[in-house]
Amino acid sequence: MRILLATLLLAALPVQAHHSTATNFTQEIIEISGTIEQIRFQNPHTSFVVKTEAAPGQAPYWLVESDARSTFQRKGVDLGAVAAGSKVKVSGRKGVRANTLFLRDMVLEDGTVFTSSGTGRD
Amino acid sequence: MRQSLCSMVLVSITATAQAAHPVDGVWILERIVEETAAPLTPAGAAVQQAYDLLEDDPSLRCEPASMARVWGNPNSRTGIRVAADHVQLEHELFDLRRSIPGEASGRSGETLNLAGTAFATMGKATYRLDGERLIVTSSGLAAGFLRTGTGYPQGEGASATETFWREGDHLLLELVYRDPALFDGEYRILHRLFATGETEVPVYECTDADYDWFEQLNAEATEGEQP
Repeated sequence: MRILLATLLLAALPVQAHHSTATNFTQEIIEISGTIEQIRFQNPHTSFVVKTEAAPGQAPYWLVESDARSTFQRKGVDLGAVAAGSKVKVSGRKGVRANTLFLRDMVLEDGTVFTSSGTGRD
Repeated sequence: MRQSLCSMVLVSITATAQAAHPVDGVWILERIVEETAAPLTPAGAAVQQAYDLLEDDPSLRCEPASMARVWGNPNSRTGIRVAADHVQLEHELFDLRRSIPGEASGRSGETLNLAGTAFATMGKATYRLDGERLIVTSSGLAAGFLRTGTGYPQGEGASATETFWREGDHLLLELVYRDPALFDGEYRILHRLFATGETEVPVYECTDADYDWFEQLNAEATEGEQP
């Protein structure tokens, strides 16, 4: 896997984000696939709503949370790399709240990998 | 998407003509070096036990739960400037601004956000200089949470001392809490911060964490499937 800037800084520090990432998200890594319906580049957490093909009776929408907009900007991450309507495969830490996860990486259809540290190629 | 151009409006932390103090600058938390166990009394443990992180965390409303919460935040800047008659602390997180008068002034400074809202969880502060160390003492803290992940509580009337000193390119901050109601002893956290090289702290524009709209989205989707 060739990821240029995908060094994730999921540091094991006892530090806290807006709503304490350490406790709002488990250590379990899960993966979902779907289409980005909505993007919110904001502080303290950027979020993506991803619509998946869910089984009948199952909730189809997932809320993928990530770093603050200001953090992305400070790292020089290209926020234009992802857009609503993109088909994506997302992996991240499963949230305590239903259908939430904290972004580890997001792979777009063209192989671009989007992480909190930047974009690269799968 | 609410990516306003306003976020590009910057708040200046640049020094005046006065010589810079060693702790002046814009800093970001690198790591927490040491943290003592929270010496909770039975009353403190009871508050922690009742804490619901999905509902009770003031951060969800863009409010500082405590000083420890603000300093413990990753990836957000704090600007420090020691001026002739006050110390200016500018926390990027929640756009908090602290204008802190000297001990001898007989006044104390509270913590406001850019909208002018005061946060009693941060208390009222004064400062003094001890050589190259900056010491900020805050008292009369309102009840809050030192750690919003674990629910370590902050009792009404607690006090805190922040001691800053420079070590090479880094800033060290020792934060000591004293809480006669909820702690049996001092609670101490040592932070290490790095200099960003910036001279300004950007406006943060925090958005409340509201999950209702998202839960509603799924509720409507699954209800739509019902025969």
